[in-house]
Amino acid sequence: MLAVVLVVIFVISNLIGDPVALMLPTEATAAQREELAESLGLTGSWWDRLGAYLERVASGTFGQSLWQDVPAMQLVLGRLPVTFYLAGVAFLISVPTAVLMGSIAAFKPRSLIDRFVNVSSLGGVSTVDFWAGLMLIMIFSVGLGWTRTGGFGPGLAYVILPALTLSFRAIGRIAQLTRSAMLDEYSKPYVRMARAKGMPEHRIFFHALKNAAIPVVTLSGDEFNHLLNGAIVVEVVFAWPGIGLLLLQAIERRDLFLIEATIAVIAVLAIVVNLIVDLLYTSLNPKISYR
Amino acid sequence: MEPRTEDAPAPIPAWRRYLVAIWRDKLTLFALLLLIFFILAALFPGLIAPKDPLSQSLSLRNEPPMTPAADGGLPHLFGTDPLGRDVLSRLIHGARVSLSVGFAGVIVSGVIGVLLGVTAGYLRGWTDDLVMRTVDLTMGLPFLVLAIFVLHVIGGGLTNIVLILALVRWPLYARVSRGLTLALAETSIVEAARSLGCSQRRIIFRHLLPNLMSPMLVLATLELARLILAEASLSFLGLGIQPPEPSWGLMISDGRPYIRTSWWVITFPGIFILLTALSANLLATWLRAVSDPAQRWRWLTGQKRRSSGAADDGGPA
Repeated sequence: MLAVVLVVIFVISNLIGDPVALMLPTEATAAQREELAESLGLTGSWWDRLGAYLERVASGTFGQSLWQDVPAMQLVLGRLPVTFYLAGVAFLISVPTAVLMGSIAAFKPRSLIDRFVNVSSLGGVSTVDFWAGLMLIMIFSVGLGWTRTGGFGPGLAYVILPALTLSFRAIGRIAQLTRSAMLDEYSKPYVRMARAKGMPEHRIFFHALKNAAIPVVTLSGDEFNHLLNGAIVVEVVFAWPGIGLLLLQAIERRDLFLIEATIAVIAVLAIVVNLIVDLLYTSLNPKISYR
Repeated sequence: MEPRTEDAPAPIPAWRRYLVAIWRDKLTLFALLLLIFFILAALFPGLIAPKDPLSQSLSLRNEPPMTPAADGGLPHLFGTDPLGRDVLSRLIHGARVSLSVGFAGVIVSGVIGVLLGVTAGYLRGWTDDLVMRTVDLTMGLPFLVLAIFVLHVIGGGLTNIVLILALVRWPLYARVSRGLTLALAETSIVEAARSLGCSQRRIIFRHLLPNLMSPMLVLATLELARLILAEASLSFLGLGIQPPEPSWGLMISDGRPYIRTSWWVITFPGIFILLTALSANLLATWLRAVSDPAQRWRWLTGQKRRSSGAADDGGPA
């Protein structure tokens, strides 16, 4: 997988595009282009460039960032915890909220609460995150002055708005799934059995919730991946100095090596999270096992 | 919508029953009408928009909603943007960009995805392995990141966005249609066709594809919403549609520096995006319920008590 990702990155930046052109502004002269190509070892055929690329990758640094003049990988890894912090807070907001919303909705299908949960979760998936973020800034930072408009710092005032923004989509999806998983469980014989023998409704609820948890956990893991994905746009809106903002800054500054390093790290992260989700799924579901 | 086979009797004209069913479900009706309005706006923006979306006016920069227009006529209902252009007219013209990206992206990715998925599911063997490994890889990566990277390399613009979105979204169709094909290939329709000596091409195009249409239609409607959101994000980041073309995402990014003073410049484009995506999602939910044979009768016969899961199993993917 990792090898394929690295090859894809090479193909896009070196075969589809011209790396030298990608690193210089459009008005650069031919002499400037040659000089840069010479200094970075980007001359010669694509075969030579593949060699140079592999060398950069193998050194673990992905080359020197032109913008900050430090190894690109070092910059990326430095920003990684910042993004994780944001995604983690968003995750902690969205999963409990969504499970609560979904299970309440399933408790009384077709009720007013159910319809409300339904439409609001659809709304959550239909909103563009950067716009939701700007609206939150407008209301809470500009209007009420409760929170920061952006930037990174300790304390809730910084993290709460970007985390809320990120969680809308996740809440929508997880709430819908929780609802339908709970409804599935409620229609199963064991619940009917429990009702028949007079088990109190709140105990039935927890029985059902436990069984409904399997698909919900899988989706939550998947959503964590989406949180990392969505973090790119949201970080730009809130000037949150994570890996997404880094990617955009690298693109603005045409820092190709830094772009390559960022993409590689994001791709590896996605693969690792997918793997963890698969493992979680197996350990939660007694019906499936990889022996 | 009905699953079709070669020798099935002609179905009763279904479209009227579907129309009645939509009429009964007000939320879906609302979504459908809204979507039709956006499509009309995209097709004939000049007829609907009150002003020229590109005409600037330095004296009317960032004017609030309802400001009287300089040329008399209708006031600027939704205000003006930082260059003095009419926000409402730009929104209506922007529908063309959003919906073209949405529909073109869905069609391109859908056709590629379904064809590859059906072929993989029907032929099995190495074709299947090759297609499905590619699918796994592409779907494992965050698609927005991939799109940002490629767009940076090849540059923005409408055609490029559509191509990129198709490139990153086809695996979804491939995965779903392959799964359905595997199931269909076991059924007696396909077996009968094969024993009658149908060619593989005929089996795929006449027997497998028609039966995939309704689940694919649901998926495509969901994807329409997602692609519209993706286009907005990419344009917002400056990697998609280039100015002065009116795109909803771009309008929000233009208005962002004026967030403290001019709320209307960023609020209305976002509401338009939300409404478009929401109506597509609502419509997909309804289509899913209607195309599910186990639930369809409730919707089409207008039973008051709908099946509890009718509107909601799953939700947008």
